[in-house]
Amino acid sequence: MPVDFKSLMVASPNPYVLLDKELKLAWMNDAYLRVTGRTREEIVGRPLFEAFPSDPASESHRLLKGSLERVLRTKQPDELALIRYDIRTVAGEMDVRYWSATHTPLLDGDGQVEFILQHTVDVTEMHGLRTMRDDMRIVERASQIQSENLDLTEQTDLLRTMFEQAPGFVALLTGPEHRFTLANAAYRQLIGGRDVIGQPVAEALPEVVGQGFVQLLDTVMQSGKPYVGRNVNVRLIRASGEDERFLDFIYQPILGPDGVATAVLVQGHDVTEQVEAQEVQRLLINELNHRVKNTLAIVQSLATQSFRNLEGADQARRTLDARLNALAAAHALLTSSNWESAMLADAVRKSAEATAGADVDRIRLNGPDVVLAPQAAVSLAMIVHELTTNAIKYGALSAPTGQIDVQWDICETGVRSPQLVFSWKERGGPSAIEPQKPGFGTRLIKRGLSSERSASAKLNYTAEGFEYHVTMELPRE
Amino acid sequence: MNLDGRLVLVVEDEPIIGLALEDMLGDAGANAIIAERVDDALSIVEHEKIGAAILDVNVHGVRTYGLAERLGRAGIPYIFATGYGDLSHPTEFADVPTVTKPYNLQEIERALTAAEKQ
Repeated sequence: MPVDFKSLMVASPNPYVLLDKELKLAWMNDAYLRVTGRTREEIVGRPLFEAFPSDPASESHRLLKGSLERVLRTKQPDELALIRYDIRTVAGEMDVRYWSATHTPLLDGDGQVEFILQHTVDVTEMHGLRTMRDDMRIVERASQIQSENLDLTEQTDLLRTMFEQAPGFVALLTGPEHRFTLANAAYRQLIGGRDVIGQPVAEALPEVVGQGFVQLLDTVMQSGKPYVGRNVNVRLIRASGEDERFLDFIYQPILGPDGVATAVLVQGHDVTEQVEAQEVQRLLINELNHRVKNTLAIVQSLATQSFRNLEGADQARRTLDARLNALAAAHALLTSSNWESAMLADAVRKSAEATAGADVDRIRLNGPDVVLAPQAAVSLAMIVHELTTNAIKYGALSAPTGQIDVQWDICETGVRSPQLVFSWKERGGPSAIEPQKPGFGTRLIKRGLSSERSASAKLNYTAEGFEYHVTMELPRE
Repeated sequence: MNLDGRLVLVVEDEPIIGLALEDMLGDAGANAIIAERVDDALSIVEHEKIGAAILDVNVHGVRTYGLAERLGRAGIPYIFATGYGDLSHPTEFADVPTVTKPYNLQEIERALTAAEKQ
């Protein structure tokens, strides 16, 4: 038996309407007229949005128009699970209505959309849902939406969990009063578990106002530029009373589409333990420096006492004294940098000064900035001490007009590590003569710089004066 | 240990301490050969007839236990000399005689004698 589909559609209790590609109402069945409260003469041939007007800016308008345009564009059916679309009643009043709709494209011979079939169901009356659910696919549509919602819920839950359990503290402050919109567990712990959501910062954490943080937030909001704080000291009221914490944090402005800040994201870490550990370390280093200096002073006193009544030991005592002074000078220099490093020029100058006193002016230093590791700095200082001592006794500093040129440079050799080349050249004094039996000082000079890499030293005794050249490999940075 | 005539390897990165030890050993009739780095020391062990060795535990941040193991295999008596903080060695070197700085010749001789007996 041939089935007359048109009669079927006409007689169907389900509302159907056919829109052409200009979205004009081309055809509708009686059920559609019933549900919209219109006569066929009133609406047939009229554009949909003229027959059923709505504010183009409203969500209803945008949802419906969006769905129909998607069908025209994609040639695929589109569903509106739930849309509010108000209908003007015969009495001329706007009646609040909720709809569920399917838009199915009907394609012409060329595969272009000729019509859109709208199957719409008035779901305003919820009790009506039950009677219609089977043949209207309401449940199916609702469950599709539901599963999409489920995905969104899962993602939202995941994000919320991540936010809540993030190891750093996070809070969102909204608006010009910096109202707490969000605060995670770490943040709540930081502020002693206070319930701050919905409150402005100045009310929620009154103790921070006087510490300048509200002002800082104002500045971030006004400038739209983030503020980054490191080791910032904050006094906060916690269970134990007022507590001093040190924080690393950022105030990150959240900008609206117009570039104006609407909120500030607060994110950071409590670094109080690190700051306290650093303080303990600083105290320990100070204590250690103090003890090393004291030990040197004790050694010096012991030497003085030991040599005091010894015939002819005066010279030896003075030599030891001078060496200890040079060592103490190098230590003092390294102490000022917490034993991390020293500049080569400083190590040379301090040692020469400790040895030659005012005559240090006759030693000219010339070279680029070179950073030395502590051990290399100490061994260079001791070498310079011995060189200066020898210069005072036998070399340039033994003559009234003698001078010493100290030069150094760094030679980049490409493949190998950079080489430090250091030279000491005495001029204006007596001719240099190689000692018959080298003493401790000369042996130390010959050994060169203490280096974890190769080092070599060369001593020249010339008629113009003593010359010393030493090279060492510097660690590549 | 009678040091007279022995070649003693000294591994020490502080030149002044190395020189002082060289003098001490010289006074006892030994010849000292100083290495400031572990790789230099290894090369010396390879090429020279070493009679004993004194190792600073930490030279320029490198531990000398690898070198100690090499000396042990070669049957060369050795001792450790340390500043501070290096008094407890790994188990296999726990019994190696160790002198702490500052030290004198008597302590060195006593420790080397103990090392020779092991």
